[in-house]
Amino acid sequence: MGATGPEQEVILSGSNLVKHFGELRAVDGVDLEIYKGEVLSIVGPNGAGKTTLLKLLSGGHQIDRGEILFMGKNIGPMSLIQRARLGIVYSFQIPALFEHLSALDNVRLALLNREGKTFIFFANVARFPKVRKEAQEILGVFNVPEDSPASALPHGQRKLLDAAIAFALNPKLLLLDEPTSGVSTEEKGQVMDTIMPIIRQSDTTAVIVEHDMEIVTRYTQRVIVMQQGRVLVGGTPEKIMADAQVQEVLLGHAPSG
Amino acid sequence: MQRMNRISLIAALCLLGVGPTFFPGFTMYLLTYALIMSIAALSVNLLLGYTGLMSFGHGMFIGAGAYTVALMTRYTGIHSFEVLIPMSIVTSAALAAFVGLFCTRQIDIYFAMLTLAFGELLYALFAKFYNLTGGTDGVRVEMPALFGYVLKAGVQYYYFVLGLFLVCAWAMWVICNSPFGKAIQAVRDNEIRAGYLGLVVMKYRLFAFVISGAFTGLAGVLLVSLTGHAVPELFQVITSIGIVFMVILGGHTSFLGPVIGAVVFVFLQSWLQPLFFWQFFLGAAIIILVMFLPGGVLGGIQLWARQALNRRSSSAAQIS
Repeated sequence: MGATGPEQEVILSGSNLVKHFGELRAVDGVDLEIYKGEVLSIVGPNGAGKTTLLKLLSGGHQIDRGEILFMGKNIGPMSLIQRARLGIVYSFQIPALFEHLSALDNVRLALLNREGKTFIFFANVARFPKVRKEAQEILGVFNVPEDSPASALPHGQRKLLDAAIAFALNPKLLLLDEPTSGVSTEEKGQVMDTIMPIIRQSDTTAVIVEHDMEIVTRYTQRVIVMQQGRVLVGGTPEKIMADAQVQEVLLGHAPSG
Repeated sequence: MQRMNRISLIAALCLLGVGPTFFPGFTMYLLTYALIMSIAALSVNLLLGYTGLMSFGHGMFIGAGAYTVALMTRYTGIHSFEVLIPMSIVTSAALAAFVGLFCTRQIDIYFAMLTLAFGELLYALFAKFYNLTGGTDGVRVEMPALFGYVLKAGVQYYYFVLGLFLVCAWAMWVICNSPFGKAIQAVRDNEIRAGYLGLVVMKYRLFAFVISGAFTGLAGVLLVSLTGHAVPELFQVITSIGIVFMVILGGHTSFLGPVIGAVVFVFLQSWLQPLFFWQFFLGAAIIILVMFLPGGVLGGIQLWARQALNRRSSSAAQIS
């Protein structure tokens, strides 16, 4: 793949990122580079700081120390909304949906806001055929029925709808927080098989937090392993899987045999 | 179900249209009053049902509308609806923008308490500044003219109110289904996600508050023209709670629930007040609603109709 080659263009780089929650150092001096067009996964045990790191990149949390450059811009001081406008979009681990709105409206809102149309008072939402069509297309590729309220969807489709909303914002960098958590083993493949081609075709850079090493190996080119707020090691999935130290962190014991 | 909704809506409109031919004067007075309160209840529900904010201070906008009429008449001699209505919409929207700047930073109980506090504050101001406002005696208000024509209390005023009610209900329906309307519902459902979409949550709350306040101000104009008396109590929490109760009674989960609530509230109040402790029924009704009918009267009717339809279609399926 050569995804980690030095000739690759860096889309985001973070240096010495730190985030405290009281006494807890959730992220404790992380350096990372994300290359344009790659799919990077972050693995690590619970409490390693994976979600916090994603939120630091998206602006959901502000960094206490360090620097984040996104396409050459210093985005550290920027708010969530400013970063969303630049194209950094976060998709939630526990689907964060507009429960009483239809799936169509969930996606449509993202599009309307992207187009700056949410302060229109005197026209029915249905009166924006282009927005409607785009929303329907997005739901189509994500395989989510458009009419049912978000609250009525089964869990796998809720995860997909969450990703669809994020995707509707036209991300340059998509941050997916455990896209398959809480989904049954059989469904995991379905969810990933739906999301990954869309990411590849749209040439989006993606960072995925994932527990399941099988998914990591199958769908991503590069992995970083986190432990206690720090990056332990990074590399190709094969290299990571072969690393005895990683095995110990992820599985709690060294590989047998 | 949709067809049934449409049929009942048309039937209700016809009934409102021909009402004065069948009903005695006092019933028409109550119906006029109920339609005015319906405008206020719809506005409160724009906040409660659609934006997720419970206001205990909408009396302040009723008061703002009423005193716009009273004070304009007293100090400028202007006494016609075509000036007073836009004026009151502007004053109550301005008041809502000012109060909203403080209140919409908060949600839940903090929002409710702040709106309540602003209402009481205005009550105190209008009650104390006797020279300016007539104090606790209030100000007597004659029926304003409409383009030089003085509306007669009763049937003529009823149709005027009915017309304005329909315009307001239609406008609020359009707003609730507009991109802005969807955005406030998104803010209600998931404030954090709305922020992640790039929506500035507070701005939507503030705009919803201003729109809601403006419509309630209009209701204030119509109310004071009906009762003929602007009193500082209009600003108070008792007015605000009454409107919230109409919304809950009718059902805050459907657009027209608050209208049903206002009509039921006004007529029940008028029948029960002379008989017994009205507050007893009010309290009992709130308990029953919260425990057994969280969707309010309209929500209950809809649930019942849906079950009846299902039963009919399932028995039809058995026969065939």
